[in-house]
Amino acid sequence: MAKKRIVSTTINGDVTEFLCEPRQTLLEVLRDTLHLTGTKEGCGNGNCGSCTISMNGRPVTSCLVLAVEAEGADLRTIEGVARGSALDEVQQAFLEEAALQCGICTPGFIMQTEALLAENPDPTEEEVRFYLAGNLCRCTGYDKIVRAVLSAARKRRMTAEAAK
Amino acid sequence: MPDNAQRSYKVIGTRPIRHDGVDKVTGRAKYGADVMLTGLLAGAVLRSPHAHARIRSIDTSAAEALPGVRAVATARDLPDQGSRMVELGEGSVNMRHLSANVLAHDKVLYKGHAVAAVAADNIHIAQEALKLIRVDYEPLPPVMTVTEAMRAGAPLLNDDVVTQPAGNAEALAESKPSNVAKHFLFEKGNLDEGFARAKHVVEREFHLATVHQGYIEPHNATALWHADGKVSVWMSTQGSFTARQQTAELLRIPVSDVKVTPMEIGGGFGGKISVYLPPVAAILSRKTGRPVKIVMDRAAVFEATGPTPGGVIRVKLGADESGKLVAADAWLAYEAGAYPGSPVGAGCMCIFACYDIPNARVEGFDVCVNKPRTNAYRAPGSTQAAFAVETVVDEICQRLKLDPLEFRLKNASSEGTRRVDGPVFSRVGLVETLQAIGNSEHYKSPPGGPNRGRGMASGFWFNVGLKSSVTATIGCDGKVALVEGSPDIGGTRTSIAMQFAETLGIPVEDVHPAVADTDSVGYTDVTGGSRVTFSTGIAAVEAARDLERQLVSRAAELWNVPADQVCYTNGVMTAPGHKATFKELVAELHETGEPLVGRGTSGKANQAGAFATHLVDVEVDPETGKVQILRYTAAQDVGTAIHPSYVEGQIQGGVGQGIGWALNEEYWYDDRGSMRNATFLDYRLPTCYDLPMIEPILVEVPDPSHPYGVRGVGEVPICPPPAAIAIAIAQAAGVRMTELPMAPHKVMAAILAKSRPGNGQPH
Amino acid sequence: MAVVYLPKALQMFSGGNSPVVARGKTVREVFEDLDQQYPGIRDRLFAGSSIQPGLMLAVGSRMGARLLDSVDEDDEIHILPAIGGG
Ligand code: FES
Ligand code: FES
Repeated sequence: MAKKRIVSTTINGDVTEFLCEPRQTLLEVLRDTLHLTGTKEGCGNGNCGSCTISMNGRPVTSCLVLAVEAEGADLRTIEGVARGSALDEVQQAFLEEAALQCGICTPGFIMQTEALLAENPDPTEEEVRFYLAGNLCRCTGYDKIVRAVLSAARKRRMTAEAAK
Repeated sequence: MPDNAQRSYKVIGTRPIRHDGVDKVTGRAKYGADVMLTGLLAGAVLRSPHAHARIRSIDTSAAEALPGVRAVATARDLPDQGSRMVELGEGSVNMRHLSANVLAHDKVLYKGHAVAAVAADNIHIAQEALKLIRVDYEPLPPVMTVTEAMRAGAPLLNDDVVTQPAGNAEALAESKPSNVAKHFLFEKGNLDEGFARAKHVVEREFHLATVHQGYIEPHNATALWHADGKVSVWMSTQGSFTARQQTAELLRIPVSDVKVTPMEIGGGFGGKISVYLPPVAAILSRKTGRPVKIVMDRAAVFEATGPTPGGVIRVKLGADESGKLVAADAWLAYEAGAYPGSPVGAGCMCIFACYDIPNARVEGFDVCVNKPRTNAYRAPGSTQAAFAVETVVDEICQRLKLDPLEFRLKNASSEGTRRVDGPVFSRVGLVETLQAIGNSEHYKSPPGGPNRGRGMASGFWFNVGLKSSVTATIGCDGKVALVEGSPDIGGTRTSIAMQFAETLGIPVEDVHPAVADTDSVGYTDVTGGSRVTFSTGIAAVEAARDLERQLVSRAAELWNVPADQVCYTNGVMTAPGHKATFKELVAELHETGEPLVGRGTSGKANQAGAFATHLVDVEVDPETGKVQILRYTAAQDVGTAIHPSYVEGQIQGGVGQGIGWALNEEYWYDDRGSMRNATFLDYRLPTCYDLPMIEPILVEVPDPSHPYGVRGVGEVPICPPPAAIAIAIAQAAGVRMTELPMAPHKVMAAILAKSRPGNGQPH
Repeated sequence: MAVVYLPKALQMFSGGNSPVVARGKTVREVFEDLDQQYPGIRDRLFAGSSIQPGLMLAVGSRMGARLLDSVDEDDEIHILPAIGGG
């Protein structure tokens, strides 16, 4: 067993240090060491998107990132999406549009959607489908997920307009 | 209750936000893999590299010696099952087979078959330890298809399986072991006379690939064997009570000594009813005195759980001059996988269910092959059957130059139609779904453009009733804690709470539904068979009525009036000179008397069955054979839609899975019986980039056996898509696809075969 | 008299006949009457209070009937393979 390393990161705004083995994935450390179990594992090899988090502002599948690679990184997980106890527009839209059934894919979809809307606040249906194509959902047929994303984008634009 | 359709509801038919929603969008909801317990060990399972082999010996000593390893288990640690059959809620199971599936006894029957398990301080040590276990195998030839397995002299999988015959006494006398576990035969009318009357006869053979349910959450279980001999299990399951019973029977301990806590479940579709991990985790826990968690990886999920059968189906249909079906013959052979139990019986009963045919015969075979033991998948057995029969129906229409919609309307099953398996349909809504498609915007706008085509297909599934229990406690503030035993896979906490709220005349937000463990709620059968909103719904309605009775008698006492003068409607209690809202009354009753606890159960009612008709437009790329879904409309008889959004969601989800089954999904085996695509990259589920919006049309024909007319909606939407798409491909590219999946290379091969000179498309 | 539809596998008891008629107020009574007519068929239908593994009963169009369910005059009883849902 290789020696453990100390890794310093910021997770959901909090400076967080953890101890890990070099072979551990970031997903494993988030879930098992830090008990941030909102990030899900569906495949463990980058094919389902359930483990999507934000790393330095970009969406990554955390099962493909080694925990030691997170040194100095700014991470955001599903646990850090709501503002205090207020849901953000994407979370709210997923609820209102009934965009989840079993919900196991939901954290990954929400994280990927956050990344999409940060890049492109006004995506077309086609753009949404393209950007989310790495996230698998077996329950919904995606219809209501796509609608939720479009509706969240609309809401966020309206809020931004109003703030101007 | 024939006035269901006219009744106006306050809660039913609205779209409240689901009760468990906030926890699921914030990552707080606890799924099976999220379980954390003090002293938790990580378990891992060693799986067979061979598709078929005898186990000569297993040496676990090196693994046991690895630092950090706490225990190793093999089938020797499982008690002997004899040859018992045990009723497990949704059907009876041969316990010897179930046990051997959990940990292989003397033979492995598929690649991925569990052979041994390790508990260690962490998952990495457990996985290293697996590599140190020495298993001496004697490889045997694998049998991978029904055709091979049924051939005389084929290698035998199970020497305790003999064909249970459908008919004659000679067959009964035959007690030689066989790969064919069961033979079904259904007959109606006179087949020969029927075909003699037929003007047009079409016969085709269809080949189906093995597919997986594809839930995103892998199987998992955490078990703790307490010092007093009791066992606690936390897991992802569609049925906590059947999981408890299977675990107890496999360990041969009293059923009630096992407590199963159903965690949130990340999809099941029929694949999370059978138990794999809990007994193994329990044994490891017994050996270590610590809780043990086992989570499958994706490859194990593909190689050792799930699949729904591939196989072969032959269908022959005859229609008379007027376009009336007069005779139908079908032959179905489904893969059971390693142990008997494919849904071929259900396939036989569904195959002609959409049509009123006077003369018919259906024969079915349940065939063991060296693949994982098959499990239910959404309308088990019916999708394969629909693909075959609907394709032949379309060809008959083509021959007769009849409009497929008119043809179906002319031949559709309706109330009073006798099925080939015997029973007569009660009130069902196939005709209504056909009409709904006929009236849809989609139907009226032609697909247009080159290489485009349109397909229509119908499907049927039974829907089951079974048993459920609910308790409801009214709090002092007039809110209700509703406890149920049905794991919630797609929003059923809310659809159950809505029926309760409707009955008691209170807002649905005031009902707090919870799914309880097996010690905390009455017996409840699985979340499956499209039964929860129906059957657990009835239990919730009963619980509300029970509370209403209590409220009325307590109000009579309180107000000192005869009970028959007290009346409760729409959440208001009245009696001459008295009036109180539900909340006011409850507050007063809380002060003055005992708690208000209601109970409800269901178990008598059975559902009438569900029908769907789908319409799809596709475009086939003539260069690559790739099929693009352009537009999809799904009409379904949903009874009364309790929460329309989640009804739509069930339909859209089923269609999505059906499209995957039609176009991409299949187990790829090499000649050693090894699955070569056990990842989500290579076993490709549809992504959102592959699908269009899926338009559901909810046709509401209330089921008279439910107080609000609920009909199960979850399963039937998966039945029509492969057939509808095959028909659309035939129209777009002029080729009849008789093999699933209709992947680009197969469609391309069919297109090329057609265009080869002198080689007309065979079908 | 209830009308009982026998699956192929049980028609050897009835000399190849199906449906057959039998008397009883519950499914169990009907099956017991059937056993009087066709000795031995009972054991293929149920043991104790449970239906034989792998079978499912329908009374009229009601699938999943149980042994103690009541049977009306002229009701049809079907003996079918058990089905499981997803
Ligand atoms: S678990 Fe990381 S992509 Fe599937
Ligand atoms: S909601 Fe179940 S996988 Fe998406």
